[in-house]
Amino acid sequence: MELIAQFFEELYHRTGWNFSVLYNAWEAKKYVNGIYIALELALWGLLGAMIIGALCCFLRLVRFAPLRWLVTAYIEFFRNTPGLAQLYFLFFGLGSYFQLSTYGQNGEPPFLSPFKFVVIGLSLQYGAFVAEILRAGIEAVPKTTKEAAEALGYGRWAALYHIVMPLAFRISLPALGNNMAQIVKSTAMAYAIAVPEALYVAHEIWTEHFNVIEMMNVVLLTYLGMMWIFTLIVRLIERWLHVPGMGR
Amino acid sequence: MTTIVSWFDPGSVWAILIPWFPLMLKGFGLNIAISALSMLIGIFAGAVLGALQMSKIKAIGAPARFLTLFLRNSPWLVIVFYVMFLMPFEMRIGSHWISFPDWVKAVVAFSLPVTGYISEIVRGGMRSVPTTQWEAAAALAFGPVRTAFSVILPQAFRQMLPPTMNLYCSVAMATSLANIVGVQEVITVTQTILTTETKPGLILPAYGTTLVLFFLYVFPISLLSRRLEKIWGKGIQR
Repeated sequence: MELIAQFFEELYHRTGWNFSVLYNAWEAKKYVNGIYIALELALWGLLGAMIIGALCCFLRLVRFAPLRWLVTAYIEFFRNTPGLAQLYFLFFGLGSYFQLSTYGQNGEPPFLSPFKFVVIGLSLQYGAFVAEILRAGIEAVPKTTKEAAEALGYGRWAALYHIVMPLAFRISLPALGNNMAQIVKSTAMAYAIAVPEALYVAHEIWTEHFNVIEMMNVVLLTYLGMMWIFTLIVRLIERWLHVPGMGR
Repeated sequence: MTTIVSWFDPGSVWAILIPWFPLMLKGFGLNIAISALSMLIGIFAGAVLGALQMSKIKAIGAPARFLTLFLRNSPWLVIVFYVMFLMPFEMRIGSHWISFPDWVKAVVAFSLPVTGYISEIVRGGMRSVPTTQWEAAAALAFGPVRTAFSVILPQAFRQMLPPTMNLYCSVAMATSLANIVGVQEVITVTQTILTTETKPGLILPAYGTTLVLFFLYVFPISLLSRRLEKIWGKGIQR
């Protein structure tokens, strides 16, 4: 670590390439914290999206039609509008209207922090995508399998829980993995409402040192690194949950 | 609470907001223009990159695959920042100074990830055509260019159009990110309107309107793409 810091400080003095996060301890700490927040956003967003997606998928199977329409409307709306506009609507619109994001009259902190708003926004947006993915997964389960379950005396919900869902989940895993990668990328959106994640911290640093080019490259590499890690994790999960005889 | 314009009396809120609609639509027009232009550039660049990815020569194929991966895995917002800050605002060609207003930079920024995604779509589309078709083209002594344009591409087209339309939906939605770097697109316009009016009660309906605008534009395209996928999906034998 010490050597790296020395190298980059030397680099700055010799060539003017100022990778300040790599030798300035205080900025490094701030930036690492930014990465940590971005990862945290991604993980909470992922969890929320999975829960909302599974819930929607479940509600769509209910026989009560108006409920199905409502869920479909939610899914279509959130899939076909920009995440940033959704976030603004939630944070500035609903947040200020219901006084969730504003400070109280006596300076009480807001009910929901910007961080939580981003998590809610990501969950709602990607929950809609997850719901679609899971539905496609359920549809991809062979009809014969469902019929076999029926022949064995499984009820509608029992068949769903014991037979269809486990298969559907495994079929949708690659698509879910892609979705997860999208969430990681979308955390950069949190910049817009001043959550101090990687991009925001980088912005703070480059306004101080005017090292935009260097910091932009650092940010790009950071995100590529995060994406790489997430892709590896998805691949591990896929291998772990692999069903013999299905797919490759 | 008394300072907040009553949200439950829609007359007052919409009466203020509706005169601003033409301006918002103008802003949304810029969104559409940016998405269409960057899609156009991305399709051409992506087709080239996709073809390079398929190359048998390792020195061409490997870098093309790496570039595709790189473009697809970078967050759009980071790319937008990258281009906005690092592209010069004007450039000298011969004796002329050509200036790049920020929406042109936005077009350049969005065309980069589009290139990556199109490259992957092209590769997938080419793969979907049976090997026998390539062999048949070779048997007819077609060169690589003729094989691509008169045998493979017409067949791969059906595979490639629906995902391309989905990609366009994503691009149209992503143009809202240009707001963060100050392009005068619909959300920026909305924010300006909100600052001008300074009525807290307007915030919710104003942002709601932008959401609805995007939905009305994107949803029909995504429906059409799904329909095409269903119709053409049936005709393909594997």
